[in-house]
Amino acid sequence: MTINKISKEEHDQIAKKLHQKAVMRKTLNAIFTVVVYILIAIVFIMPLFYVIGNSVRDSRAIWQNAYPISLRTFIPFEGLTLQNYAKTLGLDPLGTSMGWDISRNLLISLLSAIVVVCLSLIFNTSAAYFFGRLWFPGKKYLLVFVVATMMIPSQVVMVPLYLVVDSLGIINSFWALVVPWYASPFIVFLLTQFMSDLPYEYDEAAIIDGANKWQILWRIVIPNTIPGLVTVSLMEFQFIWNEFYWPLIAISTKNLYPVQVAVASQFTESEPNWGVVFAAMALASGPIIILFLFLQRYFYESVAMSGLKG
Amino acid sequence: MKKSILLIVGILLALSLVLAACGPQVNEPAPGEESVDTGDTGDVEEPAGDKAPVVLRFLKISDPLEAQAFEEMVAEFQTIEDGKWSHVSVEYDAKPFAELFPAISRAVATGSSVDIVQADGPDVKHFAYNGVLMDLTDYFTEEEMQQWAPQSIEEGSMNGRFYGPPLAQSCQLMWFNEDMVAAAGIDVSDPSGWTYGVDGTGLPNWQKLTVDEDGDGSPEVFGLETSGPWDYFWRIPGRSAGTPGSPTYEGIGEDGISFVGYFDTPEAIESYEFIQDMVYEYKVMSAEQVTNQMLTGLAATSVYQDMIMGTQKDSFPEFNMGAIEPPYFVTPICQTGSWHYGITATTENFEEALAFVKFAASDAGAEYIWQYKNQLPANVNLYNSIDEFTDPENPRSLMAEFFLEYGAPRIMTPAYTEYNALFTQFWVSLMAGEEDVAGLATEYAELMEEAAQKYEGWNE
Amino acid sequence: MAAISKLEIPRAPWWKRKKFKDAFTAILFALPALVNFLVFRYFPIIWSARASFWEYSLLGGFRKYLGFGNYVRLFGDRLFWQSMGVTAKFFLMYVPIVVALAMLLALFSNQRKPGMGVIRAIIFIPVVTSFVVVSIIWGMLLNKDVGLVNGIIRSFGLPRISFLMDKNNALPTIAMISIWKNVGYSVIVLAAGLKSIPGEMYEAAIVDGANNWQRFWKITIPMISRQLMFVTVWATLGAFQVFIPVYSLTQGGPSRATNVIVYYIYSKAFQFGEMGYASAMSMVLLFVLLIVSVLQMRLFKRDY
Repeated sequence: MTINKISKEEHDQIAKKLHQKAVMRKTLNAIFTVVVYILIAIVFIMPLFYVIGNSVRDSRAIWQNAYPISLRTFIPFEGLTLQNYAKTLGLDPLGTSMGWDISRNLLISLLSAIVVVCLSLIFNTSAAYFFGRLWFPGKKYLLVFVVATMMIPSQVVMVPLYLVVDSLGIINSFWALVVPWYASPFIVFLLTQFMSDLPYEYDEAAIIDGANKWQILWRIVIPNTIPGLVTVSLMEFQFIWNEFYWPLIAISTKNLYPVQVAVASQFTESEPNWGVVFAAMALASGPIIILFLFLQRYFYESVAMSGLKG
Repeated sequence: MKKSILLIVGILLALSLVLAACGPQVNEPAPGEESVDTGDTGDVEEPAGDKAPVVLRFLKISDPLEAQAFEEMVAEFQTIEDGKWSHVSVEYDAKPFAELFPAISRAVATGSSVDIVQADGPDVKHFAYNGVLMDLTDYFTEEEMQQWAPQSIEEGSMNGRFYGPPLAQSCQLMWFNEDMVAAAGIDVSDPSGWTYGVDGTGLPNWQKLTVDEDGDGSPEVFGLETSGPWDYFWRIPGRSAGTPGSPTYEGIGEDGISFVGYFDTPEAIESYEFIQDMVYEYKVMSAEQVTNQMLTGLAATSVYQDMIMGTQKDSFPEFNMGAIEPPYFVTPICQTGSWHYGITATTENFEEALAFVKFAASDAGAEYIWQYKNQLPANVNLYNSIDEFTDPENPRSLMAEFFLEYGAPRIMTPAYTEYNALFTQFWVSLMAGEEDVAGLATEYAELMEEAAQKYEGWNE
Repeated sequence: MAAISKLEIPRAPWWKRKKFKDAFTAILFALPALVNFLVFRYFPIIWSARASFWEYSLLGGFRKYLGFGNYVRLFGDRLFWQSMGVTAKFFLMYVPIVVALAMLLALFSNQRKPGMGVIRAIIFIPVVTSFVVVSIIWGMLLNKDVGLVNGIIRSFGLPRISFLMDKNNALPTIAMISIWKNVGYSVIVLAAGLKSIPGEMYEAAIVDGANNWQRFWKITIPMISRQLMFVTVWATLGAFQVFIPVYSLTQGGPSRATNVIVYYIYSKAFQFGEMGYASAMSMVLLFVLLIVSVLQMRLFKRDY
């Protein structure tokens, strides 16, 4: 049996070639990644850019650069002003008198979203625990019942929902924005998926140790589903933040409108002040994006920390 | 880590609950806010006779200009007749424009307390038919009725009974880019409108105004702006194709529910085909709507209401805008109708509501609306007292004249919402290039009639 | 062998038995949520169901009892069937693409490279902007004559496309806008799932000689099957309930090309004043969605 010996030079040559190939593949990969990255970024962020770009211009500049659509439409080279934001935040008295001030509405949106997320963490999590890990006869059918409620167009149930909330005496109040949403079938459904992924061995081990269901939930399930919980909280926050139809009919005083309704009210019959409208839209979307960016980091950390399936 | 998160969450929750509980359940006055003070008038003068404060709830569109107008109007209202109504204040439930009609419907369905509604002219019959509005015929004298243009009275009435005094009026003119028109060598010294049609005066003018330099079939500048696919704008060509009194012109049968034979007459169909040709054959109009097409220089002319003057002044101050009468086939026409006040049938403050509505729709009240909205008033006296209407150089005077002579209310039917929705569908299909225009028109005429059937007997 | 006599074990009453106690404590966890669903979701649905048996309009109230009249009517209503057809077409255009795209984007953004968190946030941005705003802006961008998209198309020398004013293009365009808006949701759900797949599984597979394709189908997909199922069901519900872009941009046209079922229901309820009829259609829709969802869940072989 002879082992084919390669000379050192041949060996070096082959090694170099392989190395070059690897480098080329890596750079191609990197270029590909970057190109795809940029494409995705452009496609998804373009309309927002349009809104933000126009929100720092006055109305005249907006229309001067609107058509034909070019780079100027998105990037304000001229006519920069922060007046629109001043007006929409109530810092400019003109804004308040014209009813453009949405600062209070932003606060309402923020508060209602936070309250709902907190309530949801409590009630949806326990419900998902039930559906995902506990035994109950006919649990399957119960879940179908829950999910079924999502299948009806919301406009149709708005009127009876109004009647229910009205009979509870909380219509046209902050609570009308919160109470109907303290639990949500969509979130329960989603969380159930996350929670049922955990192997049952954990539970069984805990039971042997004498833990009850509550302790299992608290000590084992929740710590292991933190990515799911974070995801779900973000979705719930976003859902409340972007709600339009329900607050529109449940609230009739401008002070209590969440921000989306307030922004829609700026499209009036006669010409809206587009600069202010865009600024309001930007403010209406901004916080969520920032929140998500912030949570992304936590997302990574928590996954690493949870020691899941490590 | 977990514990600190819990702590933060708990604090946030508690904070927000506390803040929420402190938040007002009802409106709180803030400087310049739409809602006026609730009851505590702040006036030291004792009103003649002690009356408990009354708050009128007014369901209307959200419009900052209107809001300011109403604020001042209510202030004056409280001082008239020796402060007889100083105990009355108004609270506004303002909805975005597109959502007002559903909001009114929902308010009725859920029985929420509303005293006054702002109803779009053609919808007044719809509301009246459903018993939403109070019959006000006996509460207005002949004299009072004469304040308003006859079109407004027709719009605000159903079967001869009066339900809603007008807030304002509207009409259309053809506005144009003076520079482009001059460059094309078109003479606009005569304010008469251009005529539609293959042999009309309009088409050659629009062709001159259309600019397509790179020849790709998509002009950089269109001759005529494409306005939204609504009955308010686009029913005009169809109706103008008939002589006054003809089915084409009337657009609807006397019974207010027949469309077949009115919407799809041969003349009407010809008019629809011509407009479609303007897009696809002559290419002087774009198929899709473009916001501010004329003002941004993408179109040379535009048929629009007087609101365009405000837009031009605010956002396009360098634009040189002229106006002449709107285009037509056979009979000049502009469609009238704007907002009306209506008092709900379920109101518990009828006296106060009536007094307020009367004041608002009177010349005094209408002045406030004019001041802030700059919209064509329905109160005819104002045409003689307001400068812009008496100045012959000002397009508004042309509009007022045209309105009085040729203004016709939109078609009068309690089925207006149904009809309007169907008309929009019809028009979008037409503008998208549907080939069988006659078939399309007949199909929609039948659908409209079908939708209106449930109102049979409404005017007996 | 001695006969083992039957032991007389005293049997506890049913409410003291372990199984019952187990079930009882279990349901307590879900009780508050279930109460919410009952009060705020079921009751309105039942109320609507009742309205579906009447000639009901918002302005006119409950006018006439119709029994199954509305249901009979909708079976004969060709526009209803046309609308269901449009919705089915939309479903086929929307669901496969949004799920596949979400999968690709989740995979792409799951790489351990810098900036991936940011790209995920960017993909999520459309989700958090108001659909009304988004529709208006897309409408402007897709304009045949002055829109940016056509501008780009022209620079490649291709003829302009009429996106929304063409009865053949309108529905795919609406699908595209909806996909753009909603894909972010699914991406983060799938990304969360991907994150929880232990790296060792892939390493072991590589050692065993599996290539990318095999790793994808044999490890990735099964490991996130729950999330995939959720995303598909969610996309389906979304497809059947699409409304806002149609409402803002096409109003069901042109030539009813985008007359999706929710828009038809809305127009009947609010424009035609036939809420009772709209409620009946909603009930039918509910039923259809239920069946479709259960079928999908079965397909993913989950025990539901």
